[in-house]
This record gives sequence, C-alpha cells and structure tokens, in this order.
Amino acid sequence: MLNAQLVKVENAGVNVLALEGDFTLDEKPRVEALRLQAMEGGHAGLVLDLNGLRFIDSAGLMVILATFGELRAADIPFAAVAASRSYAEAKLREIGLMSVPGFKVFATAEEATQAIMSMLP
Amino acid sequence: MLYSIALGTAVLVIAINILSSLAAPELFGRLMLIALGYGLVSLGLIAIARRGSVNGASTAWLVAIGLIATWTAWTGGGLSAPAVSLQLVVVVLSGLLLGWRANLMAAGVAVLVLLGLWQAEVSGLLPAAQPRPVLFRSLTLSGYVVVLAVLSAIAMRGTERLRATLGLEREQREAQEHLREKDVAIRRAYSGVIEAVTGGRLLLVTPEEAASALGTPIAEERTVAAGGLGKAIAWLRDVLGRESVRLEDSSLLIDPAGEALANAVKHAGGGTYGLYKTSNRIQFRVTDHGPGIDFENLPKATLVAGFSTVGTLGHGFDIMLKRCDRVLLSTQPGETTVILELRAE
Repeated sequence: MLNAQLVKVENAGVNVLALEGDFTLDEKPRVEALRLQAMEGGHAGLVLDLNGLRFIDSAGLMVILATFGELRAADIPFAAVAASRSYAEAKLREIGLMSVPGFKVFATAEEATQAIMSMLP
Repeated sequence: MLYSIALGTAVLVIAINILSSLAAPELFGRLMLIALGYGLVSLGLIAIARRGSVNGASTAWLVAIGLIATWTAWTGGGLSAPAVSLQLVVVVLSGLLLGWRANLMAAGVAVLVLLGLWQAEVSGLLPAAQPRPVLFRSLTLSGYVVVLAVLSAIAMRGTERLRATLGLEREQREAQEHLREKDVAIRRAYSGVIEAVTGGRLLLVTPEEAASALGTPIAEERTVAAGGLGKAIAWLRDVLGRESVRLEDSSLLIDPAGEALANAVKHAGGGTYGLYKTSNRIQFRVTDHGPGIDFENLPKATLVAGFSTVGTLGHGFDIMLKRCDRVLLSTQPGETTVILELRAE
C-alpha cells in the first residue's frame, strides 16, 4: 500500500508531496492526480519526499521523471528527498536520475524546502 | 452447383423428349407430360433449396425424378424402354449432389427397380405399350448418353477443384511449417545472442524448458491483476522474510519481481505468480496470457534500458538483469513466463 500526502508549507508557497510504502503501477493514477494538484498555479516549488518508499517500479519512477521534467520546463524549483543509503536513493541512482543536472536530492524534507525557498527571489 | 445440375438435367431431358417426339409424333402428349414433370420437379427443387434446405431439396428431387423414370419405364415397355437408362442418371446425380453414401443407396434402389421391372415383365403385369420406332429409341438413348456425359464433366470439374483446393491447403501447410521453422531458427539465434550479450544472465527458453527449470513451490500459486500489485509485493516480502527461504538479501528479489508483475498487468491485465526453490536458488515466476513480446521488439525490450511500448520508464528488464543471477524468459502469443533466479545461501 502507498500512503501519499500533499502538504503545503505555510507562508512559503512550497508543496511537499510525501510518498510512503509501495509505489506500484496501480498507484500511478492517484499519485499523478496529487502531482498535478501540487503543480497547480501559484505555488513556488515542489518537494517530492521519497524517504518512506519501500518499493517503486518503473511506472512510479516515470511519475518522478515526468514531474521533474515538467517543473524544469516551467522553471519551477523542484527537489527530491531521499536520504543517503535509503531505498529511494538507491533507486534514483540505479536509473541514473541522481546524475541528471538540476535533479536535486536532499536527505530531509526540511532541507529540501529550505533549499527551494532560498532559490526564490 | 445444385442449381446448375438440376436445371441442366431438366433442360436436357426436356430437349430429349422434344427431339424424340419428332421421331414418334404419336407419343408427343406422353413425352410432353414427362418433360413437364421434370421441369416442375426441378423448379420445386430450387424453391426448397432457396429456403436453406439444400440436402432435403436434393433428396426430394432425386426421389421425384427416380419415380418419374420408373413410371416412364413401367408405362413405356419395361426394361426395353429407353427411360430405363434414366436410372443410371439418378444414380450419378445422387453421388454428385449427396455424396458416396447416397450414390450407393441410389445404386441399390436402381437395381431393385430394374429387378422389379423384370419381374413385372415376366409376370405380364406391365401395361401394354406401343412399339417405339428405332429412331425414337436411338435419339432417346443418345440423349441420356449426353446427360451422363454432362454429369461426368461436372463431376470431373468438381474433382479438379477439390484437387486444387487440397493442393492449396498443402501449400499453405508447407508455408506455415516453413515459417515455424524460420521462427524457431530466429528464436535460437536471438537466444544465443541475448545469452552472450548478457553473459548468460538472460536465457530465452521454450515454455517446456521454463516449466522444467522450476524447483519446488515454496507457496501456493497466486494470481495478480490490476489493483493487486501492492498485495503481491507485500506477500512476496512476507514469504521472503521467512527463515526457510535463506536468501542473503531478500530485497534483491522484490524490485525485479515487482517489475515482472507490473509487466503482466500492463501487457496482459494480470497473470499468475509463484515462488520456488531448487537446491541452490530461489525462483520467482510470473506467467501471463497476453500477446507476448513481439520478436521485433524482443532485443530492445529485454536489453535496452528505457525501451517501453506502453509509456512507462522501460527499466523492467534492466532491473531484473541487474539484480538477478539469471532470468529465464519464455514468450509467445498467448503465454509469457519470466523466471527470476537468485542464489540461495
């Protein structure tokens, strides 16, 4: 089961989408919907917290890649959260996302939020 | 064919009767009656056949013309009447329209009719008949020879068509066999190349080889469908956590297993899966009944990371090959089996 939660950081305009559990193909539509909701106009940036993931398949990784691509195209700050040696970090490394220019990864959601806020004008 | 035989026979018999009446004008009324009988019976056959009962119409028509032929012979002088030859026509027509069984039955009936006519003749039961002029008998018999020749020609044409059809079917079978052999050869070539490229990690196998490669089931076979992937992953995590499995790192199998399960759901709407063990390996098997991996896409689908036909990341096989010691793949239209193997302690 996947627990997906979208949290808006007060006074910062940053959305945090936290995913916990098993992100399978079945969960893709639900996460896609949350992702689109998080990307709706007016917000300053998005943090995708993957620290709670225990499993993610190709379909789930595709959602992360699409999110990153769309936000970058719209020039909206994006950061992923995957602690060192965590399952999520290993998966991002495995498919090569960790070395993609502009794909920023932080150990905690707070660090990622702070980083995005510092990028804001 | 039914219509052409029925109408052709009726037209020929009517023509024979008209020609014969020129040789024996005193028989004109009788001959026209017989011609009318054949004409009406043939029209009746077509009417019945158009309602869909072709065999019924053929049987009724044969019985009717058999009766007309018998009546004509009975009233025309018995065995010496030219109409006796019509029994032969009925026998040939039975074979053409209804097959060899009807042919034999008609022959049996014709023999009985001829024996009956002989018996009636020797017993003096036949009605008195006017003597037929020689030209009349010659014309009538010649006419029946023509009818038989036409029917034989139709039969020969049918046989030739049948031969042509059988020849075509044989050619098609040979072509299919040739394609199958080619398919097997390509599969073998693919298999060798893929095995070499992956250093023996990915093996293309037949369904039989896949089945025989499996060890003892660790748990009962389960099914997966859309919406059930999370449960399947949780079940696998639970079973792999048991002491009896003895995998050094059970998490190594969960990611590739999840990809294999997702492939079954994506491409076939679901499938079955199970966990097995041999003396030194743990095996996870997923089987689906989808279209199989297209030969043209097989190398890309299995070896190129990022290749996908369904709009996903396309890293499924890449992850399976990175994590597993060996992956066995059997794929064909209607059945694809993936076996993921990891060495056990």
